[in-house]
Amino acid sequence: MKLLLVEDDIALADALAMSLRSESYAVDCVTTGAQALSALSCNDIDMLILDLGLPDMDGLEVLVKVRHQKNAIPVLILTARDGMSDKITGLDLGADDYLPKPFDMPELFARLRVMERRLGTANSALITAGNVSMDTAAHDVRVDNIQIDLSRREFMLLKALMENLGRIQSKHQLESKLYEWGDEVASNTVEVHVHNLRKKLPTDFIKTIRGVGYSINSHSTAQTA
Amino acid sequence: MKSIRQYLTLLLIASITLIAFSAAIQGYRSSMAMSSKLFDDELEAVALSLAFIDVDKPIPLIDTHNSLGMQIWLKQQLVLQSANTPTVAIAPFTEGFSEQNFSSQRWRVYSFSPTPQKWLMVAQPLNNRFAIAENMILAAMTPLIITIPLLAIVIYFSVSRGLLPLKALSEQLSHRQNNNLQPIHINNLPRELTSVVSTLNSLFKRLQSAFEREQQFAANAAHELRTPLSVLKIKLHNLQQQAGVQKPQVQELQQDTDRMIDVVNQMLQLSRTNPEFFNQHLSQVDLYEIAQQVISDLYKHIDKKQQQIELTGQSTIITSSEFTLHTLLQNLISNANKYTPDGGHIHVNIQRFDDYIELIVSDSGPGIDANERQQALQRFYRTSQTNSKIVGSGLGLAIVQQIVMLHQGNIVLEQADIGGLQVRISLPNLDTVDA
Repeated sequence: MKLLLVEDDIALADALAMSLRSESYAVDCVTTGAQALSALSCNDIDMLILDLGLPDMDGLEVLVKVRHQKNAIPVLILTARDGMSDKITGLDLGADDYLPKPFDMPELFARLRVMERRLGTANSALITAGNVSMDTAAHDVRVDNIQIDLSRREFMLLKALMENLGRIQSKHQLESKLYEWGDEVASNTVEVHVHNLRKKLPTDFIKTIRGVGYSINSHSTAQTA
Repeated sequence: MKSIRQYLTLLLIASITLIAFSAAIQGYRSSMAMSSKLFDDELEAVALSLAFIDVDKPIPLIDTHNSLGMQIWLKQQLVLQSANTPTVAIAPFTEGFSEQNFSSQRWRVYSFSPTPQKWLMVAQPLNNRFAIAENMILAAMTPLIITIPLLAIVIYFSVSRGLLPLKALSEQLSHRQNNNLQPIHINNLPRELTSVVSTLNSLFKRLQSAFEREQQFAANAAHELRTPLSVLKIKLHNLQQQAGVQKPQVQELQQDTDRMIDVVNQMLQLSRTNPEFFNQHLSQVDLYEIAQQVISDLYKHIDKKQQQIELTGQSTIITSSEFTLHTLLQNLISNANKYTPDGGHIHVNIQRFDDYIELIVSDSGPGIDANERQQALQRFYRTSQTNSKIVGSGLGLAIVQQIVMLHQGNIVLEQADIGGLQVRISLPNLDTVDA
């Protein structure tokens, strides 16, 4: 798995590259938007970590150019800017995820794993939370190592929650996951599927955060993938 | 000086009165001199005509009705006299004018000797001259005295009118909002005020750019501090990884770094929740939606402490800035998360009423003693029962308070039904007020 890290602060880039390499990623570092675009066009890069404050152009501009080349490479944005508008703009322009600085390394690794799974590589397909494990490639879900049957939609919802352990998925976010499959979504679809999922999973495995959404708690898990 | 108008009006009226009266005195003197000259000529003429009276033998007593006195002396003998003169000479036997006292009056006397043995003396009371001079000056001054009150009114209104631009300037300044740094515009500005207004305007301009620089500084500081803090955090992570085992010193360093990050973030929030920034970023935002985002962002901390959080109420649109409301909720919920023990509860409720919006954040933590609640809203205050293990800067509630004040809202700290602290915030619904 090869990452391109676009970050103009050398100290940050060095430290980050070191952590990523210790997690067995191959890392290329560049410091400008132009270098990033040329590295993407000739090297075999799997994922992009992009800082927004670059010396030659805005990180968002790099993102637009990458997407314009029909390059569907997963992109994670890092930024020191605050305010929601950058986050929303970044995601609208096609970034896969967004982390504000300063961030926790385990959180960065978790997000990278989610993006990796999207690439469909086999070694990243297994997610485990407590006694529940999910093989996203094989569409196989096990509780205490016993396979359970899930409908396609139930599988999609559970995958979205498992990929974001300890993070809340709003009803709206889950609905849009179902839309990706081109399904008609009624107003209570998510509630119905979550209700059905809960019957097949351990008690309180899926938590409802009233008024906000659903989550699978990370503390109930001994380890993640 | 109480008022320029009062001062100018009084000064002008006093000066005019003083000048008018000194002019009157001067006039009195010159009319006096003029009337003296006239009367003296008259006396001389009378004396000359008396010279032709034949007075070989004495003619006693002529009544002159007191307006004129006369004596004719011939060879030291009084040959003719008016009834109002004594029997002695009314003046010394020298030619010319003199002033004398007789018959209990003061007189102007003219003595004249047409022949060596004959003396003519003609006298007129001095009173007459004063009376005429006084009448003349009174006639001249009366219209002036009568017009002084009229003049006062005219002066008062003229001064008021002259001071209008100053009044307009002071009204513009006093009605100005604190955060309004737009230049002043006054029509038909007089020359005297041009430099005042231009100095004020350049001052406003400099103040405005100082505010902008301050905001720019906050934005720059955000970037400049967050990147090195990120580096520190990553390097500590690498150090921990290399050590292979959990080193308590490294963990402490990581906690210290997180604490520093919290403080930096909150100081930036505090500098960004100023009225200028707030007014520049006003829009229609949904408080409920922002609460959902904040809870999602903070959920990893809530999850770590196995706390139960719930959001109740309904979607509520408010005129504010997204950053500001995000900061408000982030501080309230983060506080609740920090001070509530593991497994505790946090409730967030958002309600819309006719003319205000109510936001309540309550927790099942230890709360704040009633007598400490007011102090808790001040900067860098941390409650006495604060567990020293809890990482905090003491800025959280001060930021909250500042944001509430920006909205001209109200904040109350009280005892929550679920045991801990309840922060009840009401924000006026400007949306409805404007509509």
